[in-house]
Amino acid sequence: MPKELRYVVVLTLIAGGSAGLLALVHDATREPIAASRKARTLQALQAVLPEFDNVPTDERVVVGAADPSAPTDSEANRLPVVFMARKGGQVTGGAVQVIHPRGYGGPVKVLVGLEGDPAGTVRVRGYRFLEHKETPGLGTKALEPPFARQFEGFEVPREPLKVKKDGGTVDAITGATITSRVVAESISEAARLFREHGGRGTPGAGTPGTAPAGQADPGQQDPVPGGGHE
Amino acid sequence: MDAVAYLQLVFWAMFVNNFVLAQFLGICPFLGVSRKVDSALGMAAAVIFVMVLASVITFLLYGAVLVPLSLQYLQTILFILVIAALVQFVEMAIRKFSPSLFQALGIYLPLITTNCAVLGASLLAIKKEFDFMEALVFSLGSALGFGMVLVLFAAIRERLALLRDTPRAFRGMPIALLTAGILSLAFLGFSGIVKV
Amino acid sequence: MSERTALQELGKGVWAENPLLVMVLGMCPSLAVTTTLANGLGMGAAVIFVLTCSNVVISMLRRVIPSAVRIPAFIVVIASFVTMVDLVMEGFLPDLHRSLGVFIPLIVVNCIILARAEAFASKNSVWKSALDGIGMGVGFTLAITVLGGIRELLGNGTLLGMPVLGRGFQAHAALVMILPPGGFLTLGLLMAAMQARKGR
Repeated sequence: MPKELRYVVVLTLIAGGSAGLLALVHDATREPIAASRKARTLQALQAVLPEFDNVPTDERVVVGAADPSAPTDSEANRLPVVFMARKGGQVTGGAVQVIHPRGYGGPVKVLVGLEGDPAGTVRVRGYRFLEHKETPGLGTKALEPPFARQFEGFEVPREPLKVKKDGGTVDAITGATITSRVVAESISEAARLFREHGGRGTPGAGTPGTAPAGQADPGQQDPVPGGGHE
Repeated sequence: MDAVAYLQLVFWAMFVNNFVLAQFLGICPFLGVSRKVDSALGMAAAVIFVMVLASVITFLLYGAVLVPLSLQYLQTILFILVIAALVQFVEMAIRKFSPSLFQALGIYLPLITTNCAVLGASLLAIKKEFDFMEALVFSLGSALGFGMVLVLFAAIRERLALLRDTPRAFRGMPIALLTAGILSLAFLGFSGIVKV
Repeated sequence: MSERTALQELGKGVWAENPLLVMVLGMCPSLAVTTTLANGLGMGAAVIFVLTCSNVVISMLRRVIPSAVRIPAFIVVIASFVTMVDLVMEGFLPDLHRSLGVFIPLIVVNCIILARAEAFASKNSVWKSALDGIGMGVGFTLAITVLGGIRELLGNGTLLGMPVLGRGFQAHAALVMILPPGGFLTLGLLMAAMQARKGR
């Protein structure tokens, strides 16, 4: 066998073998991966939502999706999403994924849990950072009691929330004004989206152009581990 | 995205999220080829060239081949093979068309295949769901940031090598790492500067 | 190279030829993921698996692969095992998978693995290559676990997420240790300590 032919044959066999093997592994892990992704979202939702008996991940509005009735995974990942919580058919609240473009270390993806009626009073039930690159120990204090307590059961006004430094009412964390601002503004934005898209029986009514950071969000994923506070 | 946003992305990739100092990508060449400014310049040029080219090619292959066939899980294998082939090809092309450039860059090219900054840029562009222009600008900014820090670090190390009173235990790699740590500390000051 | 016993083959990677602290290979993941002890352990386990499997397979194929195309062949083998780890980890250890992020696929270009394939597995028997892979992998794991432990302890006051140094310390922990500069500084000091021991 000529030399070159042998090279090609050997490489093809190795590449073919490994592709075949990977196809098997991929098949075997497809379900667990899908399940763990879904469980992650549900877990985050459970932590911030009031009681519900529906499946909030099935009643979501991806705000600004090209095809509102069938948003792609990628759109659900980088656009604001409103998840509705119901009990006995009644809306009890919702959770809104907001991507705030101006965190200290890049964009922050925040999940804000809200309680109440989109048409009436809306209260904060909790919030989580889904993806962030804020400084551990400084920015991440925005998820802990002294700061987070001021939002427990907080009734979200219709006008934008601001930190005191910007002439508002929210006490910022010393040394982490930017992250405090992220939380305050994300809560406002979440309530606004909830009021706008939480209308009963209109799942899929997305309005394009309301995405604050739909276009550019480098750093949305967290390539340097260490943020781990979720 | 407008021009300003692209500039911000470049700045962000170069300074705020520098590949070497903030993300720890490409540490091996950063420590290995930074004893002399000359060689650092050669390595930097070679990396910038290959990294941008590799990111563009892998980005296009991912969208045009892997996604339609739902073979995204083969991305690691495909990307590293593309990079290895590309490095070979660039090496041959430079040797043929510009012997002088080959003399300058030649010895650095083979090292690039296992430079995790190159594969890292390709993988991150996919992971961050960039569009084509963003991926291009991101890889350019990251590559420039890598080159800049490499040359900067080499300049510091050239002076460091002149010191006679470095304690024995710290000579070589340890003092280089501590220097890199201080450099990285300085670059922390850039975070929060760009409103990406 | 004189004949080594199995135990020596296994042990050399742990101390005398420690891939991270002595041979200075695999720096990127060592610095990037070692913000916690658990991350260090997870990355170490992934590297042990990939290194051992690729060493074994490459050693089995060492007479079949023509030397002119050996590097691409090695890369394909390594990348396959890396992808396997990536998929399995995402399915069964999603939290770890998230915190290691892009550094899982980047194991492909971890110089340790290609270096062992080239320098050892392509020249030695399957059994020896397996031992070499395990030894080197364990050595790497030990080094990054120590690194991760020190950084987590000083930077966060915890070990494996459990408070160790008390609340007072935790409130004023040395944040810089879990930020990027802390990685460089800790590894630099660790290597200086190794050199100081040897110098005596």
